Amino acid sequence: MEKDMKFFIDGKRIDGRAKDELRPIKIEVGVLKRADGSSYIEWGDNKIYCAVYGPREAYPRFLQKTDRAILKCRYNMASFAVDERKRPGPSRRGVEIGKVTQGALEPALLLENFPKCMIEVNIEVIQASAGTRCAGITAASVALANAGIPMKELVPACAAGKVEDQIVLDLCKEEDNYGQADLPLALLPRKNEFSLLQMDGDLTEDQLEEALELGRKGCLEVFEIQKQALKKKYITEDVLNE
Amino acid sequence: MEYFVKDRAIVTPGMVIAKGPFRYEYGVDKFEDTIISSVLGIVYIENDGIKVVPLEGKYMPKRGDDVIGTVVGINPLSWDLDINAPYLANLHVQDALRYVKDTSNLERIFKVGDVIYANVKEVGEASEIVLQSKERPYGKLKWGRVVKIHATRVPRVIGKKGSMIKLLKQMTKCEITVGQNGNIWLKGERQMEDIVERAILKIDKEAHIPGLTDRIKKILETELSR
Repeated sequence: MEKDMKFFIDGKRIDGRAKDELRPIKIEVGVLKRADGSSYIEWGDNKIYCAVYGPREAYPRFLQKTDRAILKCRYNMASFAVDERKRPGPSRRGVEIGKVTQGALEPALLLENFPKCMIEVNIEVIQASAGTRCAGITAASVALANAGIPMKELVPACAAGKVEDQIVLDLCKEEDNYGQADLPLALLPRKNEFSLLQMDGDLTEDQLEEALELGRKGCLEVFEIQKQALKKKYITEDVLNE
Repeated sequence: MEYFVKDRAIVTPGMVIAKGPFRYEYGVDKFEDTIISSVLGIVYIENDGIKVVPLEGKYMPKRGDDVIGTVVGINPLSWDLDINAPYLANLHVQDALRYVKDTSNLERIFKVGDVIYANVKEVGEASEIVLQSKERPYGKLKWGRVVKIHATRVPRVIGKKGSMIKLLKQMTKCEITVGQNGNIWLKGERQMEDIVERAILKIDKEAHIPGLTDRIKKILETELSR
């Protein structure tokens, strides 16, 4: 692909979306039997599984906090998730995303209910196509709710970015690779605060404000999808038939 | 006082349930005067009280609960029991035996893997769980099998005033002991045990759907007539 490619065709983006439109999102809940809580998300071409274990006793022991639980997040990308084979195993990028995921989820959880415990979140990327950390946080939040862990609110996440000097929502792969900026966000909807804010590229102050506002709207859309996915698991077809 | 959801609706964490001076029990969190759900569960609104019964989650022990646990470790003077809680429970020799026994080798009394019916004596400040199994119904459960379900669905296995458990006992002639922590112990004829196990797992799966007792009764009737 050329670096000076066109990102807009007749006012629409490469994949036919409007500037403030998300890719199609599908979330399933409770897909893994062995985990305490789990979810599967399809966000555009991203395919991600998330499993939550716990609360259970924290190991190694020196990590235990006497007044609250600790949250452990692990992000892993399968070797076949990207175009060129990714070397399997932990990487600098994986550790970083695990760290920011923990930071994004922790303020929403009521960890003080479980002293000396740990809650493990495993995010496994099966297929990647831009915005996996946002999709991972979205899925992890749903899986935590599915595990019955008390929390203040769900955490939706979504990215905004800049291509051809225009602010767009939820970058696709080409826009992410050849665009000017990428701004992943995670929102705490009730508090109206961001718990994740990273930036890759350059934005002016005005553009940042615009991107944050657009990202907030995107997050709220994702939030609705999360709630529907959780409810859908319990309102099954059997109930409707009876 | 205003409501944002109906009684017995399914709520997700962070959903606003009501505004006003309500009494709240569990599964909810309060911010100023708004009451929000903190778990995925079903809302129950009674007069001025609100609670959310969670649909998923681990068992949190309370004092006085009857639980069924498996021995996972032996200490010099106590056993460690797994009771599906976030922490291991502790059963001391003094609280375990009805009469004096030789306590020089605890493995002779309860081995690792034994199933024990016990009562929660105390839950400490740092969440350490102390059990006792001294009085009559408590103690080691011999033979039979243990079925594991979600602790949040135990009330549905018991039913209203014990209707569901009575039904299961009468129709299959099995001995059934239900632990509050979601472990259920059965003893009876082998085929009957199979039937009860299937019924209990079905209750676990469909706990949130109304009309459960009638459905289980129908299934038991068809299975028993075979």
